[in-house]
Formats: sequence, C-alpha cells, structure tokens
Amino acid sequence: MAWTQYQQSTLKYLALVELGDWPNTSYRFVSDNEIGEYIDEWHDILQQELEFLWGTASLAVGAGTSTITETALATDIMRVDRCYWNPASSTATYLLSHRDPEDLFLSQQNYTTTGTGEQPKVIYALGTGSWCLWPTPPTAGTLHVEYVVRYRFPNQSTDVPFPSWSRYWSTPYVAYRVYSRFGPLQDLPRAAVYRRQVDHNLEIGRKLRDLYLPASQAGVLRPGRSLANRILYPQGGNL
Amino acid sequence: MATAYTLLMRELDETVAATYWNENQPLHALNEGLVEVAARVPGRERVSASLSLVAGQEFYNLPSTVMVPQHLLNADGKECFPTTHANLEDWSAGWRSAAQGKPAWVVAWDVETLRVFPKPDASYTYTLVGVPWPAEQLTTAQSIGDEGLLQTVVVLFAAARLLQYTQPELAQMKRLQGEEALVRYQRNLRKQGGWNTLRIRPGTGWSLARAGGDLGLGRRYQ
Repeated sequence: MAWTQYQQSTLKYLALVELGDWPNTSYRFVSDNEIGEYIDEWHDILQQELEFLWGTASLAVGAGTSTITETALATDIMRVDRCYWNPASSTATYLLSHRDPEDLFLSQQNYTTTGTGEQPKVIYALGTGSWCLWPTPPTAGTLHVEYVVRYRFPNQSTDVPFPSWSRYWSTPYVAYRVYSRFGPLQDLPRAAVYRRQVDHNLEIGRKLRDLYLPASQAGVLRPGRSLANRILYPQGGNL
Repeated sequence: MATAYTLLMRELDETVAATYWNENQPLHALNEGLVEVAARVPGRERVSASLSLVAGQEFYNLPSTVMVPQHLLNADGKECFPTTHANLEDWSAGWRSAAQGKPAWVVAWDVETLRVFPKPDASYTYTLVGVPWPAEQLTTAQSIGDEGLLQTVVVLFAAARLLQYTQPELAQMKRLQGEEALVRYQRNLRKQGGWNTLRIRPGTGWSLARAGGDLGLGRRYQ
C-alpha cells in the first residue's frame, strides 16, 4: 500500500527531529514560522525543478476581449504550459502558440490591428500576471489552460498532494537554510552537507519521475541496463 | 538475519534501544534509502490495480497500491500506448476535442495522475500495472525484502545519510559500500531474469567480468 500521506505538520516534525529539537515540539531553536517558510520554499523548488503537480483551469472569454488576467484563471499558477482555445460555437479545441510580442512584431509590424475576424492563434504574456490573445477573439469562447501548480499549504493538517515518497526531502532543505542563516545556529560546513543532500534528493526525484510509463517496455526497467547495453553494443553505444 | 533497524544501529555503533538517535531518525533514513533504491533499481515486482474509467473523464489518480505506473491495460488486456502531449498535438491539432471512445493512449499528467486519450465514451475497467510501494519502515522489527542484498543496500545508504553531518569520511565509506552492494543487487536481479546469464558468470574465459565488466573481477585474474 502507499505510504501514509503527509501533512505540513508532518514536515515540521521531521524538521524538528533533524534539528535535534525533539521530543519537544516547542521550537526551541527555530520558530514555527521560519520552518514553515522554508518548507514553502522547498515546495517551490520542487515544483520549479521537477513539476510534480499540475492543474487545469478554464475561463470564459467574451467577444472582443483579448487580455486575460492570470488570477481570473487560477491563483496557484507557477508556470503556464499548454493553452487551448475553444470558440463558443464550435466543439473544436486547439492549441495556442506561445510567442513574445517581439515575435509578433517581427512577423507583422501591424499585428495589433490585423487578424480581425479570425479566432485566436497566439497567446503571449503582457507582463507578470497578464496574458493576451491574438488575434482578438471575434466571438466568445473558452480558454483552457494547463499549468504547473504553485502549492501552498491550506493548513497544517490537510494531506499534501505530493507523492508520499517525497516526504523526507524537505528536511535537508530546512536544515540547510537554518544552518546557513546568521545567528547562534550558524554552521556553514554543516549547511554545505545538507545542500548536497538537497541536490541528491532532486536527482532521485528526477529518476523516479522518468520511470513513469516507459515508452520502450522491453528493457528500460531491466536492472543493469548499462551492462546489457555493453553486451549489445561492445563498442559503447547508448540506449 | 537481523532486521534493517538492528543492522543500522550496528553501523551507527548504537544499541537497539538507541541513546543518541531518536528512534524515528533511523527509520526515516531507511525509508529514504528505500525510495532511492526504488528510483535507481525498480526491481522486478509488479502490482496491478483496477482503474475505473468514467465516460467523459480523462484524468485519473494513481491507485494507492501503485507507486510507479508502468503499463495500462484495457479491458481486453491489451496495453495502451504511453505517449506525450507533444505527440498528441503532432497527431492532431484538435486532439482535445476528438470524439470520445475507448482510450488507447495514456499520458503521465503529473506524478499522481494519468490522462487517457481519447476521453472514454462509456465506463470501462482498465488495469494499471506498476512498481509497488516498498514496505515502509514503521517499526524496529521490520526487515526489508528477504533480508538479503536489498536490505544491505538500504542499511548502508541510511547509515551514510545519518553519519554525513558528524562523520563525513565514514559516511563516504558507507556510501561507497552501499553503491557496491547496489551493483551486486542489480547483477543478482539480472541473474534471476534468465536472460543471457552465461555472460555474467564471473571469472570464466568468455564472461563479461573477465572482459572488464562492472566490478572488474576479470582484471584480477589476468
């Protein structure tokens, strides 16, 4: 069975054990808030590096409306990935291309005034938190967005939607930040060791993520594939 | 043979009733080691679980018994093709609005969710086959696997993890020992596979080991 799903309180307890502040949970060395902030930071890093958690959002867009405010879509967007446009009068849903305004300007200097009557083909960022469709939708439609989630703990007791095999990875990051902060706990050599553990855990995460649904079922998961590779390709080929 | 916790306490020069370590720390370290080994050498164990598809729904959470999904089999036992969003887009720009039908492709949406394509047009019961969760170390009385090489690997990795902050050189030694044990574990798994086992027999004239294999045994005999 799956390992017990964890909550924020679990992560705080693990951090306290690592920092030697056990069995008391009175936060003698580091405050509860500080540990919580570091745990938030870690999950941002986890998402930035490994993009474990994804979400979807849809927004009804009126005719003639080209600017989309990101918060109207969702408030937990870390990175927008695929965007699809569905005209209201059609069942078709198709991918919008991501471009910069500079790309559009290079392809067509008067892009802001052209494309009237055509359904949107491009989506570009106006700045932080705003997106623009081009051409401007001539009819109403729905924008569907698939994005990487920026996770924030709603409280200390809600199950975290990350796989429970990543439960222990926040602890080295919290310890790294605690020991590298100016103060009575400062211990830079110790912090450096924890930093290496952080990188190691990220590498483990990548490996696990890459194991999902292998395209080649024949031999990717067969252990010792480097050995198998050398047998098949003595001259040193790569799979 | 002893349990994983007992072996780890020995590596730490502690009694089973540990005085320096909180009991949970060794257990956490063992669990971390289990995850690392699962990532690097998933092993041969497979578990299957039902996935009930609902008409019109394309996202499905991983069943709780499957840690790493490997194959999704349809109701007839045939495998769905793993694919990516980019491949779906290459195939058809309108893939998201494709007609509903019996899903034949699957995408790893995120680490907890699969996406099937096309959207189901009816209820189906598919089977997800994948790597099972290793037994979580929750007590001091548990062993790992059959107390063989796998347990040795996890114990050594756990010892390295716990010792690295106060005994870095010893921790590095534990790490190296664990890496060597991991290679032996991988080799043992391959021997059990019954595939080309002749060539991994160490020390013979035509063996890979003699030709300079992964542990270099052959070189010692030259």
